[in-house]
Amino acid sequence: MVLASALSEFGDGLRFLVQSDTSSYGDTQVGGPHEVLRLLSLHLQLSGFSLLFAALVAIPAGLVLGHLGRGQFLATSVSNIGRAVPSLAIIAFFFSFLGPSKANIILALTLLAIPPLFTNTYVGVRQVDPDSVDAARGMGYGEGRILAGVELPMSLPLVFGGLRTAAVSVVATATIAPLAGVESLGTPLVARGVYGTDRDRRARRRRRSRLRRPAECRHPARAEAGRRPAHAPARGVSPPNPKGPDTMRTHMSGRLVAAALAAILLPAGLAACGSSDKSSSGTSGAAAATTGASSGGGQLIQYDAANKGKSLKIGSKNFTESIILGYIYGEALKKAGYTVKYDLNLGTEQVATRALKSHEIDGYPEYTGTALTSLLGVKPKDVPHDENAAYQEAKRLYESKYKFTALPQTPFTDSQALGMTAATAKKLGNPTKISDLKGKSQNLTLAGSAECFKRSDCALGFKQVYGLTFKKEIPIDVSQRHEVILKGKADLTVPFTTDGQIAANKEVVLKDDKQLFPPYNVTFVVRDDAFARLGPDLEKVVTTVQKGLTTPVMSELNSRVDLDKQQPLAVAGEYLKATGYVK
Amino acid sequence: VSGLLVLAQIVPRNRAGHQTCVQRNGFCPRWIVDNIGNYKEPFLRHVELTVLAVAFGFAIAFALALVAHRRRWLVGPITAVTGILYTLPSLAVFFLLQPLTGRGVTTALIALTAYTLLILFRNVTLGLDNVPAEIKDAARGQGYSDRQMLWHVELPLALPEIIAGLRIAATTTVGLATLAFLAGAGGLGEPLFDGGEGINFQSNVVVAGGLCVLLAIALDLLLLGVQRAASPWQRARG
Repeated sequence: MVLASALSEFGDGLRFLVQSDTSSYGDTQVGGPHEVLRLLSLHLQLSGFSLLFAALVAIPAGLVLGHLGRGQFLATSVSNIGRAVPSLAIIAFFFSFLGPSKANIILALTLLAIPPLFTNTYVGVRQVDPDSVDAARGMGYGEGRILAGVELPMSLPLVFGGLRTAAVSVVATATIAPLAGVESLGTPLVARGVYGTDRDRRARRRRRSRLRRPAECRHPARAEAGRRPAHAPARGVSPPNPKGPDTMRTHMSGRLVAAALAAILLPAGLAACGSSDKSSSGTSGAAAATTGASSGGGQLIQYDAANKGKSLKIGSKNFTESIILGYIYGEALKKAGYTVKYDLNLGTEQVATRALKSHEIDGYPEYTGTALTSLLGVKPKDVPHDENAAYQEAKRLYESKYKFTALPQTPFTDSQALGMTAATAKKLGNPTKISDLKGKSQNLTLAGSAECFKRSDCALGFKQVYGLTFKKEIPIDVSQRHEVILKGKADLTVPFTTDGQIAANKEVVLKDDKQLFPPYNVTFVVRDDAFARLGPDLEKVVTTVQKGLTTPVMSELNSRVDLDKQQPLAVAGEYLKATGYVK
Repeated sequence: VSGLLVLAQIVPRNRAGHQTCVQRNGFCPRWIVDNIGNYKEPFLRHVELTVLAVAFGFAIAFALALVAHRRRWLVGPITAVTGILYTLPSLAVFFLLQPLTGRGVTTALIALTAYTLLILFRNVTLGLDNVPAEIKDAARGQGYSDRQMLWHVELPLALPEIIAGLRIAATTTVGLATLAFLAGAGGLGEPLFDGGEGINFQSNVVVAGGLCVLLAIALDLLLLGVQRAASPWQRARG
């Protein structure tokens, strides 16, 4: 079974290399020779330039020091430090201090490549037979000529050994560049959402007309899994098909396998030469109508001895808001007498759903809009714009497709928006809604994630739904969505409505008057058997404790973590105390 | 909706205007001093992952090397297989294993252990091969059996290479374990890429990244110390 499934993933993976497919969210083509070659070329650029720069620094330095016989200590230190410093730490360091750019990644990779090159060159020159050097000197060779004509040629095997070591480690490490916002062959692995496709949906699509109504709404940019991504992401997965959720995973994994294959080919090719190196290859509104279950707000959560001994494990997705919510529900449930464990920061909704299905966790907070489009197979244009209707639809489909219970939703919605600085807003005559930009947008630059520009519920939606065109589209890493307008690199950006930075930076967010974005309220999703086992207090506690979670409150809680750098658990505790649910 | 207003609320802080070092994602020594305790758990997990992976890797590689020492034809195939494991990009492996082994420490340990095999196997084999033939002849002449020869002559003399392998494996594993969080295994990669402001926050990167570097250097020096203590003849020879 395992073998068969692994083979089918490889088959799907190989297809990814040779044929492009429509991504499951339907707005863009992924895979195929064109994309693979593009990523390959980016990967080679990163690796090639790094190796070149490293060679330009390390080989001459190694030759000269080796020739002079100095710097034994330097040589061993460089090689030891180079081996000990983790590549990811270097990349993180460059990212946080210099920002995400190709140049920074190249610099970081260059630093990784220098130690093996330098050490090998140095050793290569040192081990040249001194008799040969003496003979050359006796023949009247100058020092420069000895270096170039005798020592260099004789040390070439070791120099190339060093080059090979450096190449393997640089090519392998370039795979993780997307974690720092730079594309390479690692992109399909890290941005899993974008790279998922769905055969069934694709087939349906082909059969039908190509017409797509403009109002497709999903939740874009947070997709870049692994980083500040968020709910909507990974469209990796195919929705409801008769085969059920299990096959979804297979398709997604297929993309991963493909990406992995592509990424493996390079270093494997390099290593196949039989290198004998040892260096590190060192290598991311109102509560729903059903809220009636609970009594008045701010009420203290009561301990109930009946809950003693009932335990559950709470998960979350991999971004601040989801983690805070996980802790809020968990800590409140603890007060009610439950035994609570956490496995937060799981990843995208696919990862979280799989964990829920396989009993690794018992519940996690999900966004209604994300669940409908990304997990439950509802087409973006079919997602109800009314938040209660969206919740009811999600609840129904969760039950029928997964046997999950979607508990009543939160008051807040975390949608996307179009934002700008107060100064820009003033210059534009203080627009209040996105439609107000009509006739002005063609002079404005818009920043968004690369994915955003490919999606109909993001930049593409601005064009399709609002008829807006922009002077220039500036692709950025999601983490830079506020900085980019603060630093004046773009006029407009696409923030999330619960971003704490909006208030802190006095940013102006325009109203989505044509409802480009579907509702993104949160529902705590629990597996049915866990729901039955845990008793009525679970729903009671969850609905009670989320009553205070309005959009400004959620935004404040996010700020405390993202801006003030408080721990999510501590912030959840502050919320529970301030609102009086917990003493 | 009006019912909500009755609720006691969390009071929003005024963050407009002057931003603190922490809010600017800067390098803030005071924050580091106050929050260093939060890194204890990821750090200990990182140590756990590294030490266990190297220990398992060593047990496997050592056994393989001893087998291959008697049956020389095995060296090629073992090197080839461990070589392939070593060349797989770590990012890919942490994802590829998940459909088979789920999320967690086990998955991370499988991947990390696989990475150490080539380094350790190669160094143990190299160390055993480099034992001078004369010494083995002398031992044989004194009536040493194969087993005695291995444990009393060959392995002690191969110790420098074996420990050199362990040092490389340990420092490499410290680096790779920063990606273990992708498999749900925690470690210092977790705060580094915490899904929030982690990688943008310089103080955080300095602490989490710095701890990785310190751990790698500490393990390296520790093993160097072990080597010195275990092979005093080398020191004497200078």
